[in-house]
Amino acid sequence: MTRAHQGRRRRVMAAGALLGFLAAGGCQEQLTAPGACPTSCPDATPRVIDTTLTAVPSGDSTFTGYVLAGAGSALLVSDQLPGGDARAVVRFAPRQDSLLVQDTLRSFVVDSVVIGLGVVGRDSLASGAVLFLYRLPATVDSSVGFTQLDSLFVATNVVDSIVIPDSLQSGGVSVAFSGTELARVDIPAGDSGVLALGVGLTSPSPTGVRIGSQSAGSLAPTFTSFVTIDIADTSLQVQSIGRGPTFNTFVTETAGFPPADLLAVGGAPSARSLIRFALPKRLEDSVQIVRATLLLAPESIAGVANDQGVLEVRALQADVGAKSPLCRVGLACGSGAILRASRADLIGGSTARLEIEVIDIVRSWQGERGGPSGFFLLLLPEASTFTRAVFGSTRAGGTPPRLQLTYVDPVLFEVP
Amino acid sequence: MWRLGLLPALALALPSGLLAQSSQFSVRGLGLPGRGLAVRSGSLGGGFGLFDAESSLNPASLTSIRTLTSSFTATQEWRTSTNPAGEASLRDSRFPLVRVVGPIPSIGVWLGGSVTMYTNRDFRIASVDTIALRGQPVGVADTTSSIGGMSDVSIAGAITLDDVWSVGLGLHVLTGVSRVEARRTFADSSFLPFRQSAELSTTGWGVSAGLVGRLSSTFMVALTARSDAKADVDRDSTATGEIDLPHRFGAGMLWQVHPKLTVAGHAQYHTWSAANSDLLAQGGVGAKNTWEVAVGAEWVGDPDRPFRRPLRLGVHYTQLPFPLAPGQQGREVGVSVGTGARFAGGRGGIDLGLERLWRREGPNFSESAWLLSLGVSIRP
Repeated sequence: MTRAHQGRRRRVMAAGALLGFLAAGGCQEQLTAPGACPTSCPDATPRVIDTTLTAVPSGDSTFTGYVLAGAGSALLVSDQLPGGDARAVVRFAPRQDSLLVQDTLRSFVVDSVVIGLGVVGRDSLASGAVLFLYRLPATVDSSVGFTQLDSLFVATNVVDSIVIPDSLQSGGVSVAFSGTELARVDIPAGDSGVLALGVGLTSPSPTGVRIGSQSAGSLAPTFTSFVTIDIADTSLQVQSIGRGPTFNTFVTETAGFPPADLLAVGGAPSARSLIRFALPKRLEDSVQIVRATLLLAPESIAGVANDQGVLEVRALQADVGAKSPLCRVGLACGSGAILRASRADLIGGSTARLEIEVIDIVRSWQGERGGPSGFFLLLLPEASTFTRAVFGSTRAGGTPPRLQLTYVDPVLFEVP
Repeated sequence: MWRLGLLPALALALPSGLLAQSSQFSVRGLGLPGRGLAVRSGSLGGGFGLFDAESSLNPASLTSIRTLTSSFTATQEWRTSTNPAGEASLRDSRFPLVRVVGPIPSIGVWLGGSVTMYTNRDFRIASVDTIALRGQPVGVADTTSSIGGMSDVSIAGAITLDDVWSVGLGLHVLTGVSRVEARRTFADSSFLPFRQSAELSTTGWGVSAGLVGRLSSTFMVALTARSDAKADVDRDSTATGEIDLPHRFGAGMLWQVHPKLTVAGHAQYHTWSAANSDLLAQGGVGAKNTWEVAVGAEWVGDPDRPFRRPLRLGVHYTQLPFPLAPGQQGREVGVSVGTGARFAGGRGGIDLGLERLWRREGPNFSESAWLLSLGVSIRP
């Protein structure tokens, strides 16, 4: 290798080392400098503005009939509850008088019966609550009223009672019948195997209990008969017959709900409220809304302590009044998507202003594809809670619904 | 073979994007003006810029080139910025100059084309504040950023009038896009973050002329002038106005004091105040005329092989055209050192430069930076 060749190689190696050095530095960027505003900051500071809108006058209404009593997840029973008590009705599927065993319908003898109920929610601080089961006519249906049902809740119709353990917040309770007790749940031949029960509550203090309805899954009412079948094969003699409700409901003595001209949620059939706002054109298409809060002034919130309902605010896919289709969390709505549920706990007896964050809903109103600028208020679980809330409207009550918005005006970047 | 492998290695080694200068002094107006210098001239403080064909200052300097030459410049910067909000150590890289020049002997004309940084408006500024929202104090953190600037795409030609004088003429297209973005986050998470971006594009043109005189075998002078027309500014494709761009006047001289030692210097004047009224009308702080003075000296060990590890020293002073605050004007002082080498029979060249910069405006805003520059030239 010549000296000149070695010299060239040294130069190239030096250049390579330098390139590596540059590469190491060049791959690392740290660009953010501290800004001593306004001097060293460009004229691009966002201008944040607060404003409050009042609901469109007479654009707010309450509608009822969305979820019927018994169609929700719970049935209501109560005792001495302010505002009116509730009684539940459960009618089980027919228990036939014979079973098909080895291709033959065979008669059976009922050995025992277990009736199960599920406690979905209650005031765990209220002790001594007892559920009472009353025998009802097998023909009971949705036409039954509170007064009519109350007249059947007499001692002669009592089937049994179930003490709710004070430690039980939610879970199943049951009562068993055997021997002579079976007469209390005996089904006359004329009832076609149908057992109908009324459920009431007694308690040392005013309270209510939510028991599972037929859609409550494992907490739904059950009617289980353990029978001995007339068959020689002893391994097939003992069987059980389980029946769930084909009909359930509850009735309340509540009157005057929802009140006229005010906004209400809750009750059964459930009430919902529609509130409309007029979003100014500039807010509709020119600003970025960073916070939106719906302000509601409660006139009254009734319910059972420690077992409150939840107020949910939903966006509208289209505004067609009472039957407006509602947007769902996680799905597209208007010009955006509802990513966060807008909810608030309702505290019985509280009159403190409710503040519910509704940023996703209000953002979905913006732009060309924006949805209708309104909210639907509903109560969760619908038709399954003692909670009933009444709010001021634009026609009555102390304070109408308001929408507090915080938005940022478009930044006019400093043009070079 | 290892020489052929150098170019891919170079391509891999250099950063992949035209990234930020990110100076706090590039926040206002059009940003920080570029100097249009190749690494060799930059190492000499810029003092040789009016005589250097690989720089883009003077079209008449093209006649100093002997063969087709393409050159490329990359710079890595480590910078410390200080202002009343604090101090930050920053680093970034950029590619401020790409140039191809060469003679056309058959017609006695030299031609050159280049893409240079006209102004740089890369920055990202972060600040915190507390504002009142819904009657409560809420902390906010703002970040404003811009990536972009203006590029100068030029084509120039030069001829020799006689053994002494050369003249050149250049045409410049000025174009660029700045992507600006403002972000705000709130200490209270009930407020969602805010983000808005815009694209600011600038288009203009200019002409330049230059003169180089070799008054003796050891002494040269150069004159140059440039006029840039108004630039049209669009925001998100919507015309928002015009900005008048400056004229530039420069004069320089080069003296070969000794066969091994050459010194050169220049002074340039930019009429950036032409943009003042346009910037003020659009809410800016304004613009001021600027002076630039640069001096450099090059020592070569072997006068017969001037590109064999020469020692280059330089210093420059320049004013910044776009003040951060009314009534002030920023300034920049730089001291530089560099060297270079040719290889492959002179067909390839590498120039290295290291520069220490200080920028300051008023008592509160200052920066100091190290710039490491690499220039690669190829003469096929």
